[in-house]
Amino acid sequence: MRRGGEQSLKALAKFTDGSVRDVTSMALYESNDPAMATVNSHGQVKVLDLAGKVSVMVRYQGRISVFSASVPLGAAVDSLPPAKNFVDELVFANLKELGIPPSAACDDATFLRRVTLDIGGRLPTPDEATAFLASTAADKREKVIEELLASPDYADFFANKWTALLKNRRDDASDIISNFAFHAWVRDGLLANKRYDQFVRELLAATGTVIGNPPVAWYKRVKEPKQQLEDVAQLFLGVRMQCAQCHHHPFEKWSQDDYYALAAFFTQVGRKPSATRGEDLIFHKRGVATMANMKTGIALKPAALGDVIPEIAPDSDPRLHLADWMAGPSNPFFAKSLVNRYWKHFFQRGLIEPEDDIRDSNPPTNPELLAALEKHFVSSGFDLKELIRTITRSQAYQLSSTPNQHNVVDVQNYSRYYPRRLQAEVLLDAVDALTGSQTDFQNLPPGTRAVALPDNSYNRASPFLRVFGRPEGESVCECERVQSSSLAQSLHLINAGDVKAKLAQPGGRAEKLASDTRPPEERVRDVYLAAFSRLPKEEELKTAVEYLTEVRTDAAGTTIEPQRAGRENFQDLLWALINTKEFLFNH
Amino acid sequence: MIATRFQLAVFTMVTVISSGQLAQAQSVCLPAPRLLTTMPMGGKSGTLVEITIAGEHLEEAKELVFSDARLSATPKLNAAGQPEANKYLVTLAADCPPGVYEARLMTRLGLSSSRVFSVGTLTEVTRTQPNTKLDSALVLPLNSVCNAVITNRSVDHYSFEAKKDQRIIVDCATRGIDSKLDAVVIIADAMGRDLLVERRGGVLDYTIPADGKYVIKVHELTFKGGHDYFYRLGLWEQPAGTPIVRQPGTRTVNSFSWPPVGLPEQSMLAEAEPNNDGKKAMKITLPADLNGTFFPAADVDVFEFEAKKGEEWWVEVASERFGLPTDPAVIVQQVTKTADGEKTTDLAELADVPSPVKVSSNGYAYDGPPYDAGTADVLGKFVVKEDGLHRLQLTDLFGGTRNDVRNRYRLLIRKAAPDFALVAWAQHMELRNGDRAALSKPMSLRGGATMALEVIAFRRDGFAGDIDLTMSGLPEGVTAKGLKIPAGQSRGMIVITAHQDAPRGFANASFQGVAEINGAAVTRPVRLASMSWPIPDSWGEVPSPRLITDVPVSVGGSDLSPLTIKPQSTDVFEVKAGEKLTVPLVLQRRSEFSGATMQLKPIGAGFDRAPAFDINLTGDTAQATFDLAALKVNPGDYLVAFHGGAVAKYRHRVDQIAVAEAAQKQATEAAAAIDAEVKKLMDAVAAAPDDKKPEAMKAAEEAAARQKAAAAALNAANEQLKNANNVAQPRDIVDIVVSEPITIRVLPAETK
Repeated sequence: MRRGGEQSLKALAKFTDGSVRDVTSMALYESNDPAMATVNSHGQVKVLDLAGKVSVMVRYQGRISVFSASVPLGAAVDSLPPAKNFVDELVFANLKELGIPPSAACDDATFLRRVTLDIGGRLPTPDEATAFLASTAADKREKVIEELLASPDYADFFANKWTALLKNRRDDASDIISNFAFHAWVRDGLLANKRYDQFVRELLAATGTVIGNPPVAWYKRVKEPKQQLEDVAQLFLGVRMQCAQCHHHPFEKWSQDDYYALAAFFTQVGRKPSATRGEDLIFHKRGVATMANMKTGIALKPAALGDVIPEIAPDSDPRLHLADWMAGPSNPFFAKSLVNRYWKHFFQRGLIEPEDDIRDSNPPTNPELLAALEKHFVSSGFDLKELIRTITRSQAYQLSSTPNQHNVVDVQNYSRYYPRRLQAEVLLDAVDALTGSQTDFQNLPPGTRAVALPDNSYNRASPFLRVFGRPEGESVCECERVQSSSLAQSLHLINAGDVKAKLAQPGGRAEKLASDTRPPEERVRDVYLAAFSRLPKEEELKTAVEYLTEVRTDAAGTTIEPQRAGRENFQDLLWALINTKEFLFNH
Repeated sequence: MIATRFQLAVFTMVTVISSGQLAQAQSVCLPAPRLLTTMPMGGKSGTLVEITIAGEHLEEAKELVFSDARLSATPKLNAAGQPEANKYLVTLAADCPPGVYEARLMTRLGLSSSRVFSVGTLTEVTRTQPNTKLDSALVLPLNSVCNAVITNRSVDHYSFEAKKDQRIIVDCATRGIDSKLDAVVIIADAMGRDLLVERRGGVLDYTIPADGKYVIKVHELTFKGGHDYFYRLGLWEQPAGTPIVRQPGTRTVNSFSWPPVGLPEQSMLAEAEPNNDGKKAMKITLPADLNGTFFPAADVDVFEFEAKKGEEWWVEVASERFGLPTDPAVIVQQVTKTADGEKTTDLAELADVPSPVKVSSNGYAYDGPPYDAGTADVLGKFVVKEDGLHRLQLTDLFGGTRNDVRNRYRLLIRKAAPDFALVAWAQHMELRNGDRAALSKPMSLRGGATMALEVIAFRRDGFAGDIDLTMSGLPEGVTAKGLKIPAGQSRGMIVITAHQDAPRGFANASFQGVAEINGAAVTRPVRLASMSWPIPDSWGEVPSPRLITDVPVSVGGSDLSPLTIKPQSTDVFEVKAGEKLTVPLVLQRRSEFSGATMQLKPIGAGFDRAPAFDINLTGDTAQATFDLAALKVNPGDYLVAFHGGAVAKYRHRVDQIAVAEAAQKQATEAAAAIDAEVKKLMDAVAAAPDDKKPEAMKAAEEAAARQKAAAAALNAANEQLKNANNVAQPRDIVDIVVSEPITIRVLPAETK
């Protein structure tokens, strides 16, 4: 459809007696992106000004159908960067089809900062930035990706992501051992690049004690088979089954039988008390797994979202069969859900949105790309690092965030990099790194970074982490992490005591720079490298040096002694940079 | 019932706290000597090692003793020939094999609780400087073991040099040597970036990728630290393809029931994979003794054999009792051929062996002993219903996703071989949030004290007879009597009494159970279990029980029990079945008590169903009454004791007050004498002619200096007396009180 165009939909219902009736006026219509297209109760679709892919779901009597529209922008796309891999081929093909010219490739400094934040969850150090900018190696971007993937920073950052989703929550002081063990299990698995299907298998079918086998801790948090199936479906399959517990899923094909048959996989989870208060041993309880449909009362054997699972012997743990089914090469959900989740991590927007709501009525914006990523992930042996490598090596990931005259409104086709505020932990670490003032976390070794925190308990003592939306591990949804901006965040960065204390930290960066005897220009360069991984522009340098060399007076007009003035000037400079969008955002 | 045993004590404690009259609530267990740490924690055989010790109530400790004669120690002497506080020189004989041994100190309160002392073959290193930063990493030579303690909120760093393709083993001994450390051990590159991590007490087996420097990092799982968090970090080169022998460690409590007596150390038959289902079952003949592994993940091992109708076979599997994180389960099926294949019928499903007595939950108070004599291993039988083919399937209920070839098992299928194994532990006290302090109580007796240990039987293959308990080889003045484990039951007791005048001394006793099996007397040792640490709060810290290797019984000889309860006469009390018996008791108090009464409960087969009764704690006598009509015990001899909990107003080290008073008196007199001397000399100065004044002044000044020293000595003596008085202030301490046992002879009822 063209922008501004309209289209009438007609809904025809085919009944079992062979009759066909026009139900257009009785069907329900819903647009998946009201900013792109609206639809009224008569099925009249109106496309607005945005280009891209949009769909309208049509529901009638528990049946659904989807109308999908491609809305081209129609601009000439004639200078595409050379494709580095299949990601580029498919992103650019889509852009070409839609007529959205992509932004240019980003510069080295932007790339280094972006990829270090996205893989390592941290700012590049000034030394790393200097070395990278000076390097003339043709493959320097690939090299830095490899270094980051091999580093413990990668494991810490992604463990932080996963443990929140897996509800590694401190409800009681005695949870500390299981929380640390569980977090460490996730982190060590990422460090060793454990296959993703193996990671999920170890979690799903965990048995034993938490200390002996830390994924057992998940069963401490998520106790009931229904909760287990709902979390597993949403997190690892991208399917929200909650509705189907009580009735047929309104937007989907899932029935109550599907729900309870999935829950049946978890019905043979046996528990025995352990020596640790509040913790059970988990084992496979011998028996034939079944779960009764709440409405019909019929006991259902395990079945996985429409797929029949061969008979499971009473001695065999049904959860292992579920894990086998998930890791099957043609599973329609498992790999798709993961690649979509990771794609969103790097591009801010999933190919399917929300990332854990995969259904026929919510089609991807670039189905070919999603399918190719899925295929690549499965054929790589569910290799998470390889997936990240593929994504971050692509030209699409390395596009500039600066829009051109055509793609400024594009927010779903990846014609440019979409800037994103640093998440709470990363931002706190970034402020720490820039100010040279390490946040001290209770009972953890000095120097522990916020992205390496094992659970949510540290949020209580950190207004910073709370105000910037660090999740509490309550939900299996990534949406629990608040990434939106707020006035409280702005005020915190401008005015909060902890930020001020960091700026004035004895022995911190401001004090060190003030007592540094090099010319102010060099010191300003250091600050820019630390904050932005780039050197200051001429006018930035000039402004900063002028400010630093101004004579300072106090409220009474008395000249402040130079050492103190120097210290305060550098604090001001750091404070100003912290409050820039360039610092707060990955761009 | 155990659950009601100490109601009085609990009640008393609650009222004390709620009344708020005493700021210090009562504590649990009278002071007991405990050796808690040694540094280093071991040594190499054939060497002399200097160690520093620390613990609780180790005053006047002199002798450091070991569970093996090939280890011996002497106090370390300073240049003046005086012993240095808490330092010992340990001689490790060249023929002392690698292993863990028990170290204990003989103190005024008796022999302390044990701490593991390791003997190894590697070069010993003791960390002396902090190494909590990468740049302060301690360089370790290959083939060494480093003794160190984790600092709170810190990571210890070590470095070593290795060559490409060298196979390096890093093995950190912690829980197995009585440490509280749950270690995280990491091999990192020279920059400290993690390469390989182990957090579950396993061993790191690493093949070096390139010549160079590598770093080992060690920390506690939750970054706790302190002197209780010690470790021995082993680092050695292992030839490729050879099996790893880990550093030695203690055994879990439930391993007391393995192996059955007479079992060869190695089985002759190994499981042959693939044997994962009925079609690929491994063919065996009964009886069988096999070893195998739960490997790979979700491994199923199926064995197939012929058996005859009516045969009864016992199946025993050991795996968890090797200290492994496994949970074996067995299914035995009868296989019947049918027209379209075969049909299987379950004959037996065998899993955990439950504890023979109820184990305490993690609730607010104890509701049973906090030791588990059961096991996740398998022991059970099946009876063959029809001649023919049968299959036994063995799985690990914890093994669904774990790929660890070290998870081995031994499977025995045998005809009934009735037998038993025994384990004992200090009797527990049912109190608030399980004060486990009481459970690391050593068998160190005060004069006039009686101590009880629970003895639990693990019965094999249908053995149901009586088990008598004996303890011999005791120190002078100590007697022990066993309250037998009755037929069909699992719990008995041993009651050990030190005479009031028993001298200081210790002995490694012989502790045994005796039963008649198939007409022959069978004797089996009783293994002792103890907690590695006194843990006041078991909700905050999981207790770590273990077996100890010997049976040390000792008497302190310098402190007396606050209360002795014994029968008025040592005669046998006779009573006719169906009548009543009154047993007069004598109370000998050596302390004040909180509360006027205490509850006593009879223990001993036949009489432990008798109701508890109160006795007056202020009186010198009491009496117990038994209604034989209600108890319905058969004629015969019975050994019976009484126990309960009492809150003593215990005064610790009262003897030190007299010592301090004498010292203070001496210092006061010395000070007075020097005061008088100074006054006299000052008068002499005043009276001296000018030419003599300097000389007189000098003498006066010298005396004044001595006066100052005497005043300081007096201050110190006053302080010592104050401290002694403080220490000896009465403190409410609840402890178990056990009476000396009596023998009751039940005579047949008179026939009318």
